[in-house]
Amino acid sequence: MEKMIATGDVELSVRSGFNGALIMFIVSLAIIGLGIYMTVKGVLKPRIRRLPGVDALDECIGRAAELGRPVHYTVGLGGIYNEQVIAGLSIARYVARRCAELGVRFLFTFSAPTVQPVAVDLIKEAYLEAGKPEEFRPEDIMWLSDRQFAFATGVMGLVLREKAAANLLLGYFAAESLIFAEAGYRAGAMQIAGTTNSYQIPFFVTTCDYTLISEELITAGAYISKEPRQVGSILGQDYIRLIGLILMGVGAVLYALGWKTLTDWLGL
Amino acid sequence: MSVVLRRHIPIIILASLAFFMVGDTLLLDPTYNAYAASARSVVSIIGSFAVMLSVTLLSRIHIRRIQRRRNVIESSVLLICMWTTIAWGLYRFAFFGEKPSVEYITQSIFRGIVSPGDATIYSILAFFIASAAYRAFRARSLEATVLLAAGIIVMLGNAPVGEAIWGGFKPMTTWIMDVANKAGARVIIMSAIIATIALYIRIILGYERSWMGRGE
Amino acid sequence: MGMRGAGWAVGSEAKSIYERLQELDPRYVYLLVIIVISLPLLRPVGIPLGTMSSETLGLYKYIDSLPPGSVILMIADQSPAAAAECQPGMLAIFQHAVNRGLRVMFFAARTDAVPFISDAFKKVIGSEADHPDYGKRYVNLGFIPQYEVGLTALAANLLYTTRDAYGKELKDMEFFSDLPNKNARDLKLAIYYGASAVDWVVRQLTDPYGVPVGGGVAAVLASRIYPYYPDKVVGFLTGLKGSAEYEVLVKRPGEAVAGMDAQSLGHLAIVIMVILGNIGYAVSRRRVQGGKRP
Repeated sequence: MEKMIATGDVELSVRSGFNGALIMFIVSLAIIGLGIYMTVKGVLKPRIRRLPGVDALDECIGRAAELGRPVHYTVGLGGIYNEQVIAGLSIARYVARRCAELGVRFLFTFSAPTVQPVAVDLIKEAYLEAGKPEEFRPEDIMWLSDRQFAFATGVMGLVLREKAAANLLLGYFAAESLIFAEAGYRAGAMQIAGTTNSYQIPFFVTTCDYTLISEELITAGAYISKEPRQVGSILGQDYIRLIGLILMGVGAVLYALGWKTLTDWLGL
Repeated sequence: MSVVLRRHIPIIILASLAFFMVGDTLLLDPTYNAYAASARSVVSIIGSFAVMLSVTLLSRIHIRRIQRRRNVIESSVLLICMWTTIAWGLYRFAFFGEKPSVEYITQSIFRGIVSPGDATIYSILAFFIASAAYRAFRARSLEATVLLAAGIIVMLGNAPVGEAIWGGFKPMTTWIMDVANKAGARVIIMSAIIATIALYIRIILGYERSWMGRGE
Repeated sequence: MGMRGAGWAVGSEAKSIYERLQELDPRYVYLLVIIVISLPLLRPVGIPLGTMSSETLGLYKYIDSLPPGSVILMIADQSPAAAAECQPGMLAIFQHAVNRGLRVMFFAARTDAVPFISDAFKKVIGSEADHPDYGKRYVNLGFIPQYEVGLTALAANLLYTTRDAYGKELKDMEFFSDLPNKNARDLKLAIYYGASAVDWVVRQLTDPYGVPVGGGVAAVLASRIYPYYPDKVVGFLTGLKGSAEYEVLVKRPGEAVAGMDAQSLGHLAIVIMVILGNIGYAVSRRRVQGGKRP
């Protein structure tokens, strides 16, 4: 349903009122809110399934400490508004803290300049938390280029030159994913990758030791924090998934029987 | 004060703007919708300003290198080229109204240097894909074998040679892409969206603060 | 003697052919790839193109069914890297639109896609802004920043940029004068060219305005566009193969058709290497474990 409105000489077309997508949004908000509330209050104690890729982070850092070689971490191409980059950053904080604790050099690269101020603050805080603020090196947080393949060659060079012991690729990746993974392989690094870009997942699955597929990347930050509020949001997210599955099943059956109201109502 | 400034105020700004933009899809009010349209333009403007941030960052990195007498020639050449290009673009735009996207010299740089460079690095992927396929694409388990078989079929189905070898590759590729792949891709997209909704709600509520460089 | 490279030391003790196959230096693989790709480009083999893909036909038939004068939006998002696959498709589709008398509006979602729009104008209609039909049947809006945000604004108002890529006022153009809504409702089709996900175009044009989407995408992206096909995406060109098919459909064989032999042999070489690698892997594993699975 659309209505036309005029604002000055500019005509705008906006969606009017209560459509299925909006109702779904409000319902999602309510369910996640409820999930968080119930977990914080201790009514529910959700247990999160293990994410081997995230559990292997410590192994990566430990290996780097043993070998005396650095850990390379990149959030890829996205800007600070990208959900995959935000997820990548929340994992980066944990990795940076563990690196600081074990005295491992932490190399962080990114492509969008908007990530710079955030990454510097975040990693500095992680070093502070580990009680080693003096070991924080701002020059190890590197903006290489905002051009995709210039960035890719920059990362490749860095990983090979510094002989990274771990190559962590968690964020937004496009065609350069294989260049990163190949560089990690040549440097003999242990590799963990994660992205929601379905067309890059196969490259990571075949070349990396562990891959966080789709939502695993987004939830990893909450998984690591183990904080009730964050865990509660994962619970809410699973309830939404359940509702989605039920709606899909019911919708498919009803559609097959010729009753299309539900499908129309959901705006599909 | 610093906690309020650095933690609470950004979250309040973010949450109010988020709900304001959600309201745009809910309310049909010309003034409200026009403001929301302006808010969207602001995003474009801020995004364009990020270019200035990258120019500053790059200049700072290379000036520091020159000061420390490391890669002096490379850094100087880079800085001179970058600032000359910027100055030229601004001059042409300010005095002749030519956008850099159609201005001759800028376009020549793109066509003559940037495009071939990009295409070269991208084409290196052909070697990496071949090497990764040879090295890593092994039938180690049942799942890997299924993946391997599907990969081979799709590769042959997507090139004319596949059909020249056996007519069945094309229909099998179509089935794999249109049924099996479609189901998998939909799962990945949907699960990512649900997780993203939860992430955004955590951000709006201020539980997830990595976007502003803060932890708990 | 094997080549030696970083991280790829090759052992010198006596090894079976299968074990050697396992440890083949990647640079031999690189060499093979360069040979099988460059040879057919220099000396075409002429492998027949085969059956037309239903995705390519879907897009062709949809464009063919549009009445003359319908407006198509072409979104150029091909980086120089992806252009080898996408650009021949863009030329072929533009040619088809010109033949059918459709009105075509271009914009670039990334700065480095701008030259590809100029290239399309020059190669298909001969000139850019000085073409007699420019501003009547063809418009180039140039670069619109911020992908989805930019497209949202354009969808709400087709004159959002106020001027085209060459600085001409949009409101003076005949192209827009008879459009009833001046928003995305007036579009009959939007075609995305590039190597990024097509989701944002579907989200901003198909869902709110009902504009069907087409695509001329890099082959790696095909898996991501299928979830929307054929409901929201009416058809698309998968990489160079799709472009070649469209070139044949509009009877304008060009770069894509010429590149098909190289693509064919490249794919074949990789498949053979995967099979060889697996034979080596299976045999050497059996030898190590005495024919038993771990």
